[in-house]
Parts: sequence; structure tokens; C-alpha cells
Amino acid sequence: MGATERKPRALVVDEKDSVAILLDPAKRGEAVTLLDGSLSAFGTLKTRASIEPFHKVAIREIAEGESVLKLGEVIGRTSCPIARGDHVHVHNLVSARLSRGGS
Amino acid sequence: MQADCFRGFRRSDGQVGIRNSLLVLPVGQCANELALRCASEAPDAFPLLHTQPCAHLGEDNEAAHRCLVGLGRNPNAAAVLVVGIGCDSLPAKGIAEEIAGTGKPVQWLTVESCGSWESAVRRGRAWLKLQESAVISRPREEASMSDLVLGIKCGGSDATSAVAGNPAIGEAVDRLIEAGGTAIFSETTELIGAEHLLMARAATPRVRSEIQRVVSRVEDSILATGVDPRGTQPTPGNIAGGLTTLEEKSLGGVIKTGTRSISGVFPWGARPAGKGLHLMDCPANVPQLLLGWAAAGAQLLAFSVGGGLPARIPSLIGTNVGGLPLLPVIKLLSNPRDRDVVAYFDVNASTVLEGHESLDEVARSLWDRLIATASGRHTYLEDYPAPAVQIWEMLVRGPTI
Repeated sequence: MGATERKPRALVVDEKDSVAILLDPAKRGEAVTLLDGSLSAFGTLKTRASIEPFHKVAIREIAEGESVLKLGEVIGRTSCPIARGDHVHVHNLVSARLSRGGS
Repeated sequence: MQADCFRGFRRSDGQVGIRNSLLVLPVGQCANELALRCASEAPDAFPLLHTQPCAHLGEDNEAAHRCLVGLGRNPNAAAVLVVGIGCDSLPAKGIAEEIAGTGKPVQWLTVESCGSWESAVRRGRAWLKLQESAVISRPREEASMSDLVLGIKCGGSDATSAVAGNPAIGEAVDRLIEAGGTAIFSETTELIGAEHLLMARAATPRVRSEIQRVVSRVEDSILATGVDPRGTQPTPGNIAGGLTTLEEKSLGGVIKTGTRSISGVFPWGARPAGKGLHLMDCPANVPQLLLGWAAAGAQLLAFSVGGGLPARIPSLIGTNVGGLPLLPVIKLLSNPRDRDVVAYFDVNASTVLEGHESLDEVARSLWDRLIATASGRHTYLEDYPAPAVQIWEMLVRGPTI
């Protein structure tokens, strides 16, 4: 099977995580295969943005100000509401530690 | 099953070197040129140039003094020439005497003690010539993994570091600690957001509070500037690689510390108190970190690189050279999209993400590479043809006046 025929893959490292790590580039609206920590497929997801490999995609809805979990731990909080399939990065996720006061 | 071991150079103080460096150590930046000139006729001599000025105060001078003594005592230094002008902020004679406590050949000289610059260069060259043949002809002998002190670092991190290179280093660290060895992690800034995981692994309540103290100190110092650290931590390269926040970077970074208990925290320039897993308190700045690890007695460093542009730097990231001859570096690659530059690396951990190898298999390759490197096999960076010399940096916490 050629790489072009394969769906992009996204790795969910810990079952508590609210985001997955894209292992391949994904176009907006593309179906992505979700893999667990042992690289076994367990579901799919439709992206709402085009996302570069190794960036994060939300695997569930995340409210504004809510903590985002990756590697089973808090990596920051959202600066706006996030939908399942959104690209999660500096435009909607901020550090909960180094932004004094902040939103 | 026979225990793993490596073949190194046993020093008279019991430490085991994995390289035989002939170290030329200036005590201040004014003596860097003197070190270069003394070493220029001895191909095996290494002049370790650095930034120690006459413009630092108490604590920073004490740390630099400790650092220079530690570098001289590093078991990868077979013999040490300490050079100064005579009016330096740190004493060449005193530093040489402290290094000589290891029993290795040590000499010191200054422009003052030799009467002139030319005479200092002549005497330095003559001493290095004498040492050169003695240093190189030494045989290796069998040594235990408990004699190894491994520095661990990640750099050019992206999202792949946390799932490939870093967990591979973590498994190797666990194995080294089980074998009675020592591992040292650092980069205190990059523990922010992950310190709770480390504190839970502290061997004693004192170590637990020390971890909290050093992380709070760096976090408070960032907040006190009022400057938004985003764009610096994480770095632009980290952000391009998909890492958004400092805590995300930290959580991926601490995976390389494995799972064993943390035995101690020590300041930059000092040595860990005993074997096991230790934290060296130092910012994430390569030229300072490498001096710190070498001064702490580390014989080698495992360096996990994510991918993207930082992976495309053939030299040691953060320097313009292949590293310190005192501290060979084993470089791991995590990102499969950068496999075209895999020749810059000693271990390819990106195979994990392709499903070609399991994490355990990559961790075993790293372990075998550690043993081979410790027994004399050169790493990619050791043979890197650097176009220039590197000026290494002393850690400065106080004012420069």
C-alpha cells in the first residue's frame, strides 16, 4: 500500500489525553486514523483544519479555559473553545504556568 | 548471565575514563590564547577555552573555580596543564593542586611564574610533549557499568521526542541505575510543568524540596522580568515542530529521566553526592550545560534530537563544534521525516514511529552504543570536522561588573 492511499495517522499516547499527535500531514476535512500507545487503530476523526505532522489535533470538544491533556498530563489551557478535529497549537492553547494572570 | 561491562582507563583515584584527553585548562579568558599556543604543537592536546572574566563576584567565581577543578578531575582527562597569566580571578596553582589530588599528571604555569609569555609557551609545549606519549600508550581494562556517569539531554525537541528518543533514553537510564551507575539530567527551565512527576520520585523529603526550590527559582526569575517567555521557551524550532507550551515540552523532556528514584540535586560546577539519578541545576544552554556535566564527572552524554531544522545541524546543537573531547555525545534522532539526515546521528529512534522497531529494541541499541562508546568507539560528533574552536560558557547568576 502506498503512502498516498493510507489515511493520515494520529497517536493518542495516554487514554486521558484530549489531543492526539498527527504522524502524517492531514488536509482539512480528511479522515484520520486514531492509534493508541501500541500503534493499534481504535477509531477515526475528521480534521477541521489542515494540520502539519507532529502537531496536535483535538480528539474531543474542549471548553474555553479548560486544561488540555497530552502524555496523560496538563500541557496548558485553551484560550478559546476547541472542537473535535481542530488543530491545537499557539492560537488556541496557552501555558498555564508562565502567563501571569492571563485568561 | 554475565553482567554488562565496558573497557576504560582506570585512574589512580578509582574513576574510569573512556577517553584519554590531554587537557589544557586556562583559568580565565585572558589565558585562552596561552592555552591555544601551548597546545598548538601537541595534536592530542585539547585547549578548553571558556568565558571566565575578572568581572564576576563571589558566588560566580566560586562556581567557576569548582567547575575548572571538576573538569580537571573528570576521568576522561588523562593529564592536565593549567595555565594563567598570574593576575587572573582564579588561581592556577590552587586549581592545579586540587586536580592533582586525583593522582593524574598535573602541571601549572603562568606568565608571572615563567617570567614571560614566550617562556610560558615554551614550558607548556615541553610539558605537553612529555605527556603525549605516556597518555596515548595506556591500555584499556574491564570496568563495571557502575563506573559510568551519563549526562542526558534533549534538544531541537518536537512532538516525536516524547514518544521515541526520550523514552529510549529513559529505558537506558533505568538500566544504568539498576547496574549501580549514575545519570545526570539538567535544564531546570525545562522541568517547569513536570516537576510534580519528579518530586514524586524524590528519594528523600529533602531532595523533593530541593527539586521544588530550583524549579520555583527559575520560574520566579522568568516572571520577575515581566517578559512573555513564549517564543523563547518553547523555542521557535520547538513550536514549528508542534510543541505549544513550556509544560508540554517539559513533560516530554522528563521522560528521558526514566522511572527510578531521584537521589539528589546539585548546583552547576559541583559533583553529584554518590551514584544514582541526579539533577544538576543549570539553564537549558548547551555551552554551559556541557561544562557542567563534564565538571560533574560525566564521561558521556546521550542527546535526543526531535526533528526539523535543528536535526539538520550536523555539529552539536548550540555549539559550532562536535562537543567537548572530555564528553563524547551520542545523538539520537526521533522524527522519521528527517531520516535523510540520519547520518548525523548514532542511534535512529524514529523507527519506533514507523512501527519498524519497538521502543525496547531502540533502547537496546542505545544501550549497546553506550557500551561501545565507553569502550572507545567514536561517535559521529567526535569525528566532526569543526571549522572553528568553541568558547565554552561559565554559568553566571550574579552581576558582571
